This record gives sequence, C-alpha cells and structure tokens, in this order.
Amino acid sequence: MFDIYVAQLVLSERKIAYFVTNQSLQIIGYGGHLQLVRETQEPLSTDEPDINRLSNGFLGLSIVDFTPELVGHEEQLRALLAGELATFRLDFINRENPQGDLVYLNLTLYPRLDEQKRPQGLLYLLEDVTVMGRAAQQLTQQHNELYLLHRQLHDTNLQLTAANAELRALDELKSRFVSIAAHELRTPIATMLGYMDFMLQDDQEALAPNQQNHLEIVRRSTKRLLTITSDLLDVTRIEAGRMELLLESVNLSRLVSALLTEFQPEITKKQLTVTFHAPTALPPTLCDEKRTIQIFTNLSSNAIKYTPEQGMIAIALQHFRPPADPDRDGEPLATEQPVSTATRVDMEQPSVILAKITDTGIGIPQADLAQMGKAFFRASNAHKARVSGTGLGLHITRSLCELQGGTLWFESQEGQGTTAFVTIPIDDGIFAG
Amino acid sequence: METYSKKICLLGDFAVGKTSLVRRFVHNRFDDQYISTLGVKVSRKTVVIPHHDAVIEMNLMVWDLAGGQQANPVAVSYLRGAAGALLVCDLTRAESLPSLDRYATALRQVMPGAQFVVAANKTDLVEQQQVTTHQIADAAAQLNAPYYLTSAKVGDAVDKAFRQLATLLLNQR
Repeated sequence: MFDIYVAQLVLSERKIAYFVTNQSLQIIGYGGHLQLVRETQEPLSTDEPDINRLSNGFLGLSIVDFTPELVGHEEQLRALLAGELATFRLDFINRENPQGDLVYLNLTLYPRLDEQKRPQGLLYLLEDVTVMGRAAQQLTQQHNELYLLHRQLHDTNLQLTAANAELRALDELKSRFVSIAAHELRTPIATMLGYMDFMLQDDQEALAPNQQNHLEIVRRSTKRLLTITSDLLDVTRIEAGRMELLLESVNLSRLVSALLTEFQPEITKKQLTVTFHAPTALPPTLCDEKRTIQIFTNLSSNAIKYTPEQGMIAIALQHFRPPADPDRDGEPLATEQPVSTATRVDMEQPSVILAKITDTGIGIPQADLAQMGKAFFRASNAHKARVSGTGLGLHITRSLCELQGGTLWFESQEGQGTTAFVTIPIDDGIFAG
Repeated sequence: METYSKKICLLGDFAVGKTSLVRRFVHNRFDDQYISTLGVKVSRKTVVIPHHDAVIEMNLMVWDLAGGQQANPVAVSYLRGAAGALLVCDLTRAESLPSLDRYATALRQVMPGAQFVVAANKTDLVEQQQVTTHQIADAAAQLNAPYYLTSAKVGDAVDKAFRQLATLLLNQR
C-alpha cells in the first residue's frame, strides 16, 4: 500500500500535522495541513479531512510503513503504547515535496490517552523544520567542505615541503660542486698567471714579438678566468650564508684613492677624465677592507668599461644620514660636524658614507634598473659596449654592500650615463674594543 | 514468490559518496555536486535474488545517514534494526578506509549479527587514488566482508555491491 502513495507531507502553513493511531499502529485519523502525492499522478491536496477520499491509500496504513524511519524503534513504540515512555522523537527526517525539493521533518510520538489516562494508541506529530534543517545542512556542508579543503591543503603542503626539501638538497649539492670546482680551479689558474707574468717580465727578450703578443692574450684570458672562478666562489659563499666579513675601521677616502691609482693604465688608455672628491674630515667607515675594495673595484671597473673614450667619471664621498622616509632625500651633514654628535642625535638612523660613482657611459634602460644586482642579470644594452660578463659581479657587489649594513642602487639615463650609489656605515665606535 | 523486508545502512565518513551510491542504486542517477546529508533519508528498492532453486524478493529499506567523523559519530538510534550495512570508503582519501572498522563496530554493538559489504568508491578518479586494492582487500578481510570497487558516477559495481549485501542477508535469515 505504501508504494501507491509516497509519504509526502507538506506542512506549509501550520507546519504541524498529526496522526492518531490505534494499538495496532494503524492510522485511524489525522489533522493538520496535509498533501499527499501519488507516485504517478498529480498531487492530491486537502485542507480538510476527507476520510472517504483518502481511505483507499492512507487510512489503515501502518505508521511503520508510512514512516520507515521507525524501523528499528519497535521497542520504543511498544514502550510508548505501554505507557512506559513519555515521548519518542526523530529529528531531520528527509522527504521530498511535490516540487522535488528536500524538506526536513521532526517526528515526535506521544501516547494517546483515554479519559482514565490509559494509553489507547499514539499521537504522531510531524513538524516541518525545513528552514532550520536547511541552515543546519548548509552549516554541516561548509564544515565538511572546510575539512576537505584543509585536508587537501595539508596534503599539498606536505608535497610542497617534500619537493622543497628535495630542491634544497639539490641546490646545496650544486653549490657545493660549484664551490669545490671554483676553489680547485683557482690554484692552477693563479699558478699559470704567475708564470705568464714571469715570462712577460723576465723572459721578455727570449720571446719573439708575436709570441709576446700571444702570451699577453693568454694572460688576459687567464686573468678573466680567475675573476670568474673567484666570483663563482663568492656567490656560493653568499648563497650559503658562509661569507665571512672582518669589520674594521677603514679610511674610505684613502681606499678609493689607492684604487684609482691601480686603474690608471685603463683610464689613460681610454683618455678618461676622472675626478675624485672627498671631504678632508670624513669619518672612518666600519667595513671589511678587502670586500670594500672588491665593491669599489667592481663599480669603478664597470664605470670605466661602459664609458666611451674621452668620457668622464666622477667619484665623490660624503657623510650622509639616510632619510627615515625612503621617498625623501637624505640630509648631508656638514663635514665639520663631529661624528659623535651625529650618532648621538639619531641612533636609530646611523650615519653612513655615501659614495657616488657617476659616469658618462651608455647608461641603463629604465626597465632594467630594478633588476640590477640580481644574479646573472645584465642590462639589455650591455652588448653595445662590447663588454663580456657573467652578471655575477654586481650581484656580489650588492650582496657585499648589504652584508656590511649598506645599500647599493643606481640612477641612470640611457645614453647619458649612470650613477651608482653605495652607502657604508661609519665607524661610530660602538663595536670598538 | 517469497518476500522479505530488510533495513540496510550506508556507513562511512562524509563525502565518500554514500548518497551518490544510493541514488545510483535506487534511481540510476548521478549528480556531481556534493550535498552533505543531514539526518536520515530512507529510500526503498526491491531486488529479486536467486536463492537455491527459487527467487526471493527483497524489499531493501536503504538508510542513507549523515557521514560521520571521529568527533561526530553516527547516531546509534539510526542503526537499530539494521540487518546490514554497506561500508563506504573513498579511494581518494586514505583516512576513510580505517574509519570503516569504527562504523562496523558501532553497528555490531547495536546489531551483533549485522552483515557487511565494503564499497571502495570513486574508481573513476584514477589520478587521485590514495588507496590500493591490496589495502582494501586487507581491510575487508578483517571485517569479514566482501568488497567492491565502485563508482557511483559511472555505475561500476554499485548494483553488485547492494545485491551482494541482499544475498548475505538472505543467507542469514
């Protein structure tokens, strides 16, 4: 009989429907706003009880057949009929309404008592809790989806962690290989270079002019090879965090002057005009002297290489307090001002020496400025100057500046020249002794 | 023809595909959208099972219960009167397999003679599978239950799994 009618209860108005059953749990009457739906026919609606109309398919049904959710609760039904149980309830029974939408019903059963308060059957009460049910369903759904997402993220995170560890191991292996290779190459290259210098200087008379010329070419290439291996070694040290610095008080003015003397042959050869300006009372800097020479060698060498013949290079040092706001220009300090005063005035922003190396070279395209100093990056117009390079020199220079507590940046107009700015902290005595 | 009615439950963690298996078995439909079940939904399907030299009609009352998890186990009251259960795990979620033991234990505590069939669902998601057939066979053997690799989406072995459970219930009667 159950198959004829689908137990669809749509309690749209009063939200409550009830059945009255006898002791044998057959439906003997009902109330409330009901709508029964035939499986193969149009919905049959009624607001008023119509026993005759419904008797074929509704009355006389077993409530267990009508409500299969009661299967397994026969013991509770028996206890209700015996007056041993005051109530029995099932929450969120799922049904579909005639439109095919899911509705949720709470079922509560009470004993039906006669005048002497003796149980005569059951009052079967259905309450439409679809609104609450849908909210609860959405909450459960969101909880479940969040859990699944969390699991998915957890799994993805584990996979990424594993992949990352693998890549780190490979990167470490690569760095170790490069480091060992560069280190092992340096010794024989340095030996070769030494013997070539020896031959070019002491055995010059024993060599034919073309041999001297060839040997000079070999020497230059060997020197370049030594630079590349040294750069590779530096990069692996920087990447591995193994670059050690020996910070000490350094007179930057003296350091730059000495360096320019070393570059004199190249300056003369290209007929460059080079000026150097530094105040006499410049405070000492706190830096690694060897690495600071490397910084200025690289920047000066670049300025010379990328500046055409008869061009100009200006190097200037000044005592400078960095601006608190990076968008504002800093404030140069009067050179006569005692350094101790400056440091006392602004301990949060320690004073620095700002070095400016300005050239009239080919310049750097605007689009490339932000990339300068990244490993293996070379400006897109570098080939115009016919200068070979690996893109490691500036990367090392920038890293060394930052390791020493300074910065490196560039300003440039393509075709007009470039200014490299370097800051190096002054030696304020805090680390002394 | 003899006719029997049996209550069976689908048990398993949430989102393993219990509702989809019922929908495939009862209505031969599939919907890709995941909609979590709240409370209980009872569906009916009659199957005819060959048994010895006769055929038996089984009215299966299929209880689709809200998926459980460690902190929120299936309500025991729903399990009362169940003759058996389809234990459902998700081949793409390894943690859904060991959970089956928990559901089986919960049902056996209420219904000691309950029969089980394991449905390892979502065979169609080949690339995402985290559980091997060997692991499923081991878990099913520990539960003393046959197992099926099912796909509610394409329909693989869904009918077989339900019919196998019906046959076990018939043999037990």
